[in-house]
Amino acid sequence: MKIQKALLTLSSYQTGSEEKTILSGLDSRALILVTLAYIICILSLPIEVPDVLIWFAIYPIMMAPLSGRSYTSVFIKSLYVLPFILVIGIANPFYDRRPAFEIGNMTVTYGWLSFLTIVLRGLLSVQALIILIGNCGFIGFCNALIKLRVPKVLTTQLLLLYRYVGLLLQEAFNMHRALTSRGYGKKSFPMKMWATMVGSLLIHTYERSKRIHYAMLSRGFNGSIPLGTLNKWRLGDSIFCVTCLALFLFLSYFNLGQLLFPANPSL
Amino acid sequence: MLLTFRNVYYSYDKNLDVLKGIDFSIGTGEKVALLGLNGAGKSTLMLLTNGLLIPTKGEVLVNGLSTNSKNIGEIRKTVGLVFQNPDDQLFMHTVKDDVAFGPRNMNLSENEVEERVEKALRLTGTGHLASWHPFDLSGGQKKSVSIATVLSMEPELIVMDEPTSGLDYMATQNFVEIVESLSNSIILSTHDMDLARRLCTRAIVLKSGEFIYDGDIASVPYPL
Repeated sequence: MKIQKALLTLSSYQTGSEEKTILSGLDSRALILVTLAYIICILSLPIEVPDVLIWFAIYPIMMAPLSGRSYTSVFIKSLYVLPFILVIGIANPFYDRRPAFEIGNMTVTYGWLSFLTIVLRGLLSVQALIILIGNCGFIGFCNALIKLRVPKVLTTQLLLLYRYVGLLLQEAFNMHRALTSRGYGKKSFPMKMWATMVGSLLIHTYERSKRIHYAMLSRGFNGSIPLGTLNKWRLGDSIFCVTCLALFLFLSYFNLGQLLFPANPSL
Repeated sequence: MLLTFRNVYYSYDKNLDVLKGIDFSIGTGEKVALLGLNGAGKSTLMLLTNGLLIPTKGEVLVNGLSTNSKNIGEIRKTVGLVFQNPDDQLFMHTVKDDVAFGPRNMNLSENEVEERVEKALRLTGTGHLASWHPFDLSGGQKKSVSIATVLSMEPELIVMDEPTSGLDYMATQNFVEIVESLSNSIILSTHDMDLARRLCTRAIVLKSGEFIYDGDIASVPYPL
């Protein structure tokens, strides 16, 4: 069932991969810093050069197998955000109709180039984040953020939000199971009923989160969630950071896109 | 006295007192059964013991400290609360981290935290579940782990809300063995009279928010 699968996926992202991979030996802070540098480099590029941006796919393509995952699975997961990215960029081809170049009889405008850049930026950023969270786990990610001096109030909010999503899915699963056990095989129900169920779901989840909050308060919760200690930073972590940063800077400043699109006037 | 309720009233809204004029004390080492029908006010009383709820009238004292004071941190180190539903008690990603949550909030060193976690898991027979996700545990395992989460804080008083509800015979026996081995003071809310008689020497009976009996468990007016 989809809700159960979602719960299992959420659970698997809590502590990250249990397999011993090359990336699992790295400090979570190193992974966060590299991912941040990657996203900053992607976002810093001009908006009309998707041919430069495409080369940044080297990072997730290389990192996915190093983290014990296939790039295909990471790519498919990143497609979940595609609708949101399309909504952000879809207006560009309509507003910016300046011609960029021609392919046969077809004129490609700067609007389409910028749209493609937005799509690539979104997908590549999400793929980098999937690899990051898949390796450190959400808990390890938040713990590393704390060690990087990110204000605890932010990391606590992230952790509580993550927990709340899990609660919401659990309650949804319970309600769905109750519904199907008394639904006599019926697959569709009136909209009014769904609206009532959504309301009940939110109330159930709120009530449950309140009881969990009481349990946390009873055990000394004071606004920040203690997550234990991290491993010490090692030489390998520094080498990883420097190597990745060098790669990103190289891709940013040396236009490999010209090899693919030598006729592009923007280059 | 470890825990004292002085003329405590509590209401969730102005027109309805859930607890009325509750007066009692619990000393060190006492094991007390809190009995009463559904809706008598047992859960409300338990939430008052460690300051999760503040009395609308009267006061609750833990080792002389009022629960409506700034000493709530100390109070919560002294009174541990085991909730009825272990899914409400367990909220971390592994059993070990859940059991460590309380000691870490007490700012203990990581070594001390490890020691307490190991001890709590050993006492409850759940050491082999340390790396498990709480959602993967059975009902009985969750109950045992939820007790461990409170034991690791080494409170003087443990308050348990219907700890054996939903447990089978073996899991209940396991729970009984754990509680019998503890030297902490205990308040046990339960509908199971056999369990209450086995574990506790004193009983407090609530009816419609008021005490109707406080004394030897053997003389409890039953049915309630």
